[in-house]
Formats: sequence, C-alpha cells, structure tokens
Amino acid sequence: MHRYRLLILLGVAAVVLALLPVVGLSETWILYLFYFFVYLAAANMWNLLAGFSGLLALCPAAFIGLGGYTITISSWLEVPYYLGILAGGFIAALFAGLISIAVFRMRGVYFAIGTLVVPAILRLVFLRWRPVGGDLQGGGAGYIIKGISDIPSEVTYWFGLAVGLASIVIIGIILRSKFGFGLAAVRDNDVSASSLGVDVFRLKLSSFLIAAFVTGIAGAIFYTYQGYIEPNSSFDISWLMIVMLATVMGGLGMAWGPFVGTIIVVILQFQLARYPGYSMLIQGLILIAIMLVAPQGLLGLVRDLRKKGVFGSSRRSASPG
Amino acid sequence: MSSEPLLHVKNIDVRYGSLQVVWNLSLEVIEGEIVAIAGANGAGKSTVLKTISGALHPSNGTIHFAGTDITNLDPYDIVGLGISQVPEGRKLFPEMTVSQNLFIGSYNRNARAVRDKNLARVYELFPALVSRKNQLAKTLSGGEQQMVAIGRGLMANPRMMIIDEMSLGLSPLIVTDLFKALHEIRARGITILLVEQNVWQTLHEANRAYLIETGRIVLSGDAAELVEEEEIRNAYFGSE
Amino acid sequence: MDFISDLASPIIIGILLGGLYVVIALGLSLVFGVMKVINVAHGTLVILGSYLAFALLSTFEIDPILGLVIGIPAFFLLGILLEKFLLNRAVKMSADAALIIAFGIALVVQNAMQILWTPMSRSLITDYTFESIQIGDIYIPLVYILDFAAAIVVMVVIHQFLKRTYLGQAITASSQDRKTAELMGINPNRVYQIAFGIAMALAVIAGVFFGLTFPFNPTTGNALLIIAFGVIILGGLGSMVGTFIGGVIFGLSQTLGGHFFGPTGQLMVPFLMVLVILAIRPQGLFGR
Repeated sequence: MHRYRLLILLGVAAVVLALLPVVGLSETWILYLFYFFVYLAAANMWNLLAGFSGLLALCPAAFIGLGGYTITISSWLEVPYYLGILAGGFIAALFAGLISIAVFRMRGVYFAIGTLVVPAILRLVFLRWRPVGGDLQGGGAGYIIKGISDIPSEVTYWFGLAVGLASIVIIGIILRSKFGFGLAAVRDNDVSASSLGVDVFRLKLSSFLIAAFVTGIAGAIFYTYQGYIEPNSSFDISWLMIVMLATVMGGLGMAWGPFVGTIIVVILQFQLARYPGYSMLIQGLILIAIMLVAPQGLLGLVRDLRKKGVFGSSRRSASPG
Repeated sequence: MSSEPLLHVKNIDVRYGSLQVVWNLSLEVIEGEIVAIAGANGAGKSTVLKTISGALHPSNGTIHFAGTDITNLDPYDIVGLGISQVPEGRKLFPEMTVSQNLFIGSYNRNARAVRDKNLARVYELFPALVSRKNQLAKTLSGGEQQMVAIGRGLMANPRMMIIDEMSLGLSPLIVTDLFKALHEIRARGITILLVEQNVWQTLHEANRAYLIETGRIVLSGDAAELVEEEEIRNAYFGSE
Repeated sequence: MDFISDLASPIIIGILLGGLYVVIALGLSLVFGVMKVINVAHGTLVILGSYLAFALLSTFEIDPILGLVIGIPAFFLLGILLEKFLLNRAVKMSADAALIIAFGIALVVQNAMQILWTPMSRSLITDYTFESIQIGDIYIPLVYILDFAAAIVVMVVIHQFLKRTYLGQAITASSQDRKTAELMGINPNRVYQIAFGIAMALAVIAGVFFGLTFPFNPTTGNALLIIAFGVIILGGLGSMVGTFIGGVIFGLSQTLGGHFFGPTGQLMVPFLMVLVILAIRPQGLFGR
C-alpha cells in the first residue's frame, strides 16, 4: 500500500478506535481491543526479530516483565505513570543492550536457548528482590501498582492503542528504509551479507534494541491495566507462545502477519477463557498444525495461492486464439 | 557373460533447480569392466555419479542396474541392490575408527552375512590398515583414507563399485598402488566405474572410457584407443 | 573443618544428582547429534514421564521404577510416532521450523498435564522415598543413589548400543555425516525415528527418577530443558564422558548453589552457568 495512504488509513483508524470508549462501546469490547493492541505490539516486535532479522529470540517475556516491573517500581517512587511507561521501554532496551554482549556471541540454536534462559533468570531474580517497600496482603513476590485507581481506564486503553499502532508504523518505516534492506540481506545469509559490507552486528543489535523498547512499553502498559505484577506470570513462557503463535499463524516475516495472527489469538483466548489450560493447549495444536500444513502462515498461504492464480490471475495465459 | 550391460544409463537430463547441467547422456558398464568417466573439473562427472547413486534424480531418461530400474530410488536403497559408492573426498566418518568405518560399510542386509569374509579381504588388499585398525579416521593420511574408503565400499558386498575422484590430492605413486588394488578387486569379479579428473593415468588403467564435457559425452570407446587420439592428447595432456 | 564437612553433603548429593541430569541430557544429545535439532519439548516430555508414573502409582499402586516396564516401550513408540508424523517434516523444512513445532508439542503436553493433574506440585511417594543411607555424619537420601545407579546403567547400555550394534553405529555415522551414511544403505528417516524413540525412552526413565527425587508440576520441564542443554553444551556433543562430567558439574552447581545462596540459588547458578557457557565456549569442554 502506498505510504501515505497507509498512514491516512492508520490515522483514521486511530481516531475511530480512540473514540470508541467515549461513545460507549462495552467494556468487554474495549478489553478485547486493548489486549489486541498490546499483543500486536509484542508480536510485531517478535516478527521484527525472528521474521526480519533472523534472530529467533525466545526472550520477549523478559522485556514484558521488565516493562511491567519498571512501571510498578516507578509507581511506588511516585513517578507519573506516563513517564513510568516510557521508562519501561528504556529499561527493557537497556537490558537488551547489556545481554547482547553475551547473547550476540551465540548463533542459531545456541542463541535461541540462550535467550530462553534470560526470562527464567529474571523470574528468579524478581522472586527474591523487593526493590521498593510494601507487602502484598499475604506476602509473596507480587506488587500492586500504586495509584492505579487514579488512572481512568480509557487512558490505559489509549496507551494500548498507541503502542499497537506505533508498532505498525515502526515496522512500516523499517521495511521501507535502508535498515530494512540490510535486514533482508542479513536474514537470508548473514555471512555473505557481511562480506558485502553490511554491518551485520549493528543491524541485529538495532533490531534487538528497538524490539526490546517497544515490547517493554507494551509490557508496562499491560501491567498498568492489570494493576498487579508477580514474577511467575510476568516472565512466563506463555508470552513467547502468544507472540510466536500470532506471528507464525499470520505469517512469519510478513509485515501484516502478526496483525492477522493476533486477531485469531485474541479471539481464541477470550472464547476459551473459561477453560484454563484448554486455550493454550488448542493454541499449541494450532501452532503445530500451521507449521505442518502452512508454515508460511495465513498471509503466506494467500500470497502463494495468488501466485498460482487461485484468486483470479493478473497474468495472461498463453492460450491460442 | 550377459550381453545386457550391468549399468545402463539412458538419455538422462539432470537439472539443479532450473539450471540444466547434464544433457541427454547415455553410458553403459558391462560386468567385469573398469570403465572411466573422465573430464575436467566441472564437466559434470560428479553430477552423473550422484544421479546414478540416487542423490540426484534425472528429469528425463532412465537408469537400470542388473535389469532393475533405479532411476528414482533413494541412495540408501540402491546400495542393497549391489552398487556401492566411494565418494569424492573419501568422506570417512571422522570420529569413527578404521575398523568402525569398515564395519558400517556392511550395513546393508546383503553384506552383513559375509562381513567377516569381506573384512579379511580388505586387510589383505590393504595391509597398511591392519596396524591402524583403531585409529580415528580423521587422523589418517590422504592415501590411507582412500584405502579405507575403498575398503568400506567393498564391505557393502557390491557387484559394482563407483569411485569418485580417487586420485584427488594424492601423489601419483599412491594412485598407482590404488589402481593395482582396483585391478585385484576387478579380478574378484567386481565391476568398477571410475570418475576422474586425472585423464592420463585413468586411460591407462581402464578398459573403456567416456569423455565428458559440459554435461555431454564427447568421446567414448576403448581406453587404449582414446589415449592415442590426437584431440585428447592436445586437450588433456598439454597440461600434464 | 566444619565448613568442609558442611560441604560434604551437597557435594556428594550434587554428584549423584549429576547422574540424573546425564540421563535427561542423553536424550536431548542423541536427537541433537542426529537431527541437529534441539527438542525444546524434551524437558516437558521428561515430566510427562513423571506424571504417567504418578498416574500408575496413584491409580494402580504400581511402583514407578517397575512401571518403566510399561513406560519404556510406550515412550519409545511415542517417540517414533512424534518423529514420523511431526518432526520429520519440520526438520526437512528448517531448524527454526523444528524448534517451533517442538515448542508446540511442549505447549500441548504442558497444558494437557495441567488439565489432567492441575498445576499443583506432585511427587512420587513410595516406601523408599524417605529412606536415607548414613555415611559418617552424612545422610544421603536413597533416591539419589538410585538416580546415580540408574544413570550408570543407562550410560553403559547406550554406550554399548551405539558402539557395538549396526543400528547404534548407523546413528553415530548419521550424526557425523548424514549424506555419506546414506551411501552405506542407512535410511536417515529410520535413524531419526529410532534416535527419537530412544530419546523418549530415556525421557521416561529420567522422569520416573526425577519424580522420585523432586516434586514436579507441569512447568518443571522448562528448567530441565535449560539444564539439560547446559549439560550437553558443557560436555560437548558426542562424548559420553563429557556428558557425564557436564551432568556432575551441573548437579554440583545446583546443590552448592542452594547451599550458598538459598533455594533461589539452586536454579539461578545453573542458569547463569548456561548463559556464560553459551557466550564463551559453546563447543564445551570436550566438544569438537
């Protein structure tokens, strides 16, 4: 889609979506949309890493959790929440920069497992570490976000909307830039890309930092809504499952893949919310099925079918007379 | 001896993706012969070999071995039919010993029963290997590795052995010794198909030869006659 | 003096625990060596073994170790089926595809276990669960000794299998050079299936002994995967001795980590070790 048309479309959508709570859309729908945009941001960023940069990073939970803890801690330090949310992104990016020293020395499956360990370690850290005072009723490692009741729910919704739409814009900008071309070269073969003068390390690091930043913000916003954080769920592998499923279902490495996939994930999650465990089980089955049947995802499938002319061919067939 | 060739390659085209590399190629190997496919680097020899052994499949044409159509079989099914391959670069299993490499050579069903007999023959053929039985393959010299590779090929109890670039990287003296071994192998009734860059030495050792250039057979016939051919002397022996 | 004798218990238990980790790691290592794929569902499948032993124990009062008579063939078969129908295609697609499908499997199994047995922690409690052996001042729980004994048996059996049988050598050859192995008549698909079947048999053995030693819940497998991966990376692929030493080192890191840093240290130290090893020397101590 032409760059400006897309931006206008997004702008209109943004305004419409923002007005929804004002015009009285039901709480449930606002919640759906909130989850959708937060997950979308995280999924778009995971797609940036795994789909566009060749980095199968299994650590999105680390950024989500850090974003969440940042907003929590800053709320206890009386920092205004919007700054706290921003800080969430910065802390996650800072952390990403730190671990990149270790993690970028690893390749392929080593990188995957290395990044898998990171949220596991963070979970252990936050089980013990109580950086700010205050106890949860009944103890445990959780925190309430202070002053959460002061934030109107529309505002949280708007933040969620903002990060989700921002993630679309960011992906769009990246894909159309020199950075994006560099990434495409790197994804396919980083050895030959680097021999062509592409600074592979800097490209991958940049993707990593951007993804961490946006995912961190998404996490901070998510926990602003949740009002409560504890290490077992904030650093849980289920965050990876969500973004992986959304991206793979929609189409790994395709710009709108996460968008399509997140729709399905959110629908599934909410329809099956009554049956804990079943939701994730079914999502796991779908992930397996997709990888076996259509590993290119739904959008990839559409693209391939289009090439074969299933949706009406724009090619003229070389038929006589 | 049957008049039907043991190996019959008929009009094969081979492609890598959309790029065609072998054109309408035919060749025959009669049981008991040593046949060579000779040609320069990149002429298509290895491609033909891989197609015969099943690693590649032709887009047209057929390949028959002892009457059986093997055109589209997988490599691991072809061994059991009586063709064993000694791959280019030896390709021994590096972390396995000499005796382990030989052992695994007899993996296919037909070879297991006669394993011990074949093993004795291998050590007879290559006495230098006896003292190296428990040495890791990766520690062997090039010539020793080639001996093990040929021995491993023999352990498969083949009717025909395909040997790919045997002389690559080896001194002429060692190659001569290896050819002696090949003659002994042939004397035992095993047919040999050789692929070689080393046209000169090969033509002196083989019965018949095919000369291949850019994926096509350009000359074929008795090896002794081909050696005399003016064109060949110019084309291939100028650089010797 | 006190400091030393204080350490004796965690050191001995750490070494014994290492045996358990070797069994867990061997399954992962076998598949990685042959298929070049890390089965990220392996830890979860080990715990599946624990849960099945739990089911046999609580429903039919079958001793978990005896239950292996059923468990091993069942898991072996499961492994062959999983490889044949799920992983084979994924491996041919790409390494990433295999990783993702394995994740899917882990997800499905984890949640199935959660549905069937709830997220609560479980344990395999038998007559001998609380028995200890006394050596001087030190009490060593019997289960740790059983773990180590099982590990030795497993290592010997697998080692002999890999070195002395056609199938075992076929697996070894395939992991060193798959294409050449095909030239020997070795069907790689069969090799993958058998290797995966064996890996699953190892998983159920590990699961039973793990369940006798520690409480477990549906998510325990994630930590096991990380540690098992650390063991095979530290020990280097293809080396049984290396895997054993890797297992012992990780066992020690857990017990000593817990000794010095409390319960969080038990996992924290091994996890940090994995990260450091991956960053500094992914080919391990003994690897090629």
